[in-house]
Amino acid sequence: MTDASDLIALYWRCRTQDRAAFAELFQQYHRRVFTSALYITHRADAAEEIAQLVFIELFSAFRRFDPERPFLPWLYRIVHDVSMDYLRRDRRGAHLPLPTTEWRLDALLGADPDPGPAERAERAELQEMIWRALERLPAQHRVVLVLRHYSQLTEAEMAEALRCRPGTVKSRLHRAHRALAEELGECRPAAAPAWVGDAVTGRLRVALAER
Amino acid sequence: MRQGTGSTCPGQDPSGRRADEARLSLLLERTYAAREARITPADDALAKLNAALDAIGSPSRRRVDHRRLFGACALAVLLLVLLSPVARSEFSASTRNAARSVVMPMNGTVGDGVITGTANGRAAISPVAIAVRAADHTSAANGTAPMTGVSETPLRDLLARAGIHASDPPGVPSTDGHPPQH
Repeated sequence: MTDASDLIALYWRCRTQDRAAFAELFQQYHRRVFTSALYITHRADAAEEIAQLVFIELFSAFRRFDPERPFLPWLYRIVHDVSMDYLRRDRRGAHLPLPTTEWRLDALLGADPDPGPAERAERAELQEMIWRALERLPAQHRVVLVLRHYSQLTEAEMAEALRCRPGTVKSRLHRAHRALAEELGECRPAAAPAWVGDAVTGRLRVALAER
Repeated sequence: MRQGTGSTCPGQDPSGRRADEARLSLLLERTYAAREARITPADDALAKLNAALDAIGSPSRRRVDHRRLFGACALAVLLLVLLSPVARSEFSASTRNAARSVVMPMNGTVGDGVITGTANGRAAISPVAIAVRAADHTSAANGTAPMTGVSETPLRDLLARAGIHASDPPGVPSTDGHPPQH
């Protein structure tokens, strides 16, 4: 893992338009950028294109970047701008879902190293349900959820990335959580296991508490 | 887990809501992490990026960019000139002047006079029309046919109709068997 001083040195080199340094930076952050774009757009093809655009923008914008300042909020500001711009321009497949079977498999490979079969199935269902609920949210909500829960930015960093005040971030985050909870309530009751079907009446809280 | 909607957990206290939000956060983190574990970005992403950066930095591209920049600047200056308040006032002034210089004859007439429209919207009877009207009065008095139509007849014709010929000595109107008009 690269430590902070190495990263700062890397940023300084990128500032001079050093292509080798930029390739290094790409290796360091591409996966994160791609995944964020995927979580924001819910489209693999869009995520690939957005990641390219972000790094192209990053390359030319590096001249303006102060390497002593935190890099991630700045990076996510570009990710946010490019993603939202992409979604505005290309509305055709804004809600095109990803293939779910692969994701289901992913879900089965969750954090718990050795869950029982029933628990794995339940977890997969739950994650699938959350993914579908996220898919229904407006992109603005998805962005704040990704920045907070995937990228793990603090509220101050999110404020910098989204160009707003920390108080605004807090309220946007709260609205996104509420919208997600509402979507979770409406997600399905037909195909879900019984405990998910009862989410609307509050049993989801119990189920979540047990996790 | 519906918060704030009142439809599912109406009596939920704020600490319960916070706990729910914390659980939801945990679930989201786990969902994101589980999905990320299987994500594999394209292998040729760096090669594509390098190709794109090469294309951006190539001299021909830069030349095109310079041309575009120049064109955009020229367009911006032109628009600025045309749309600036000074340019607009000058433009409207020149339009006004042009309208003044081109006196538009109007179709309507008042009596026998020719009404001309002016740029300030007022109607005026031209001096020639006044002369025509005078000549008509003269013709009526002389028993000749009055002028019909409205046209700016040359003065010589008018005077001829009034019985004044160019050959007459000045101050002596033609008699032609008719008493002179006073």
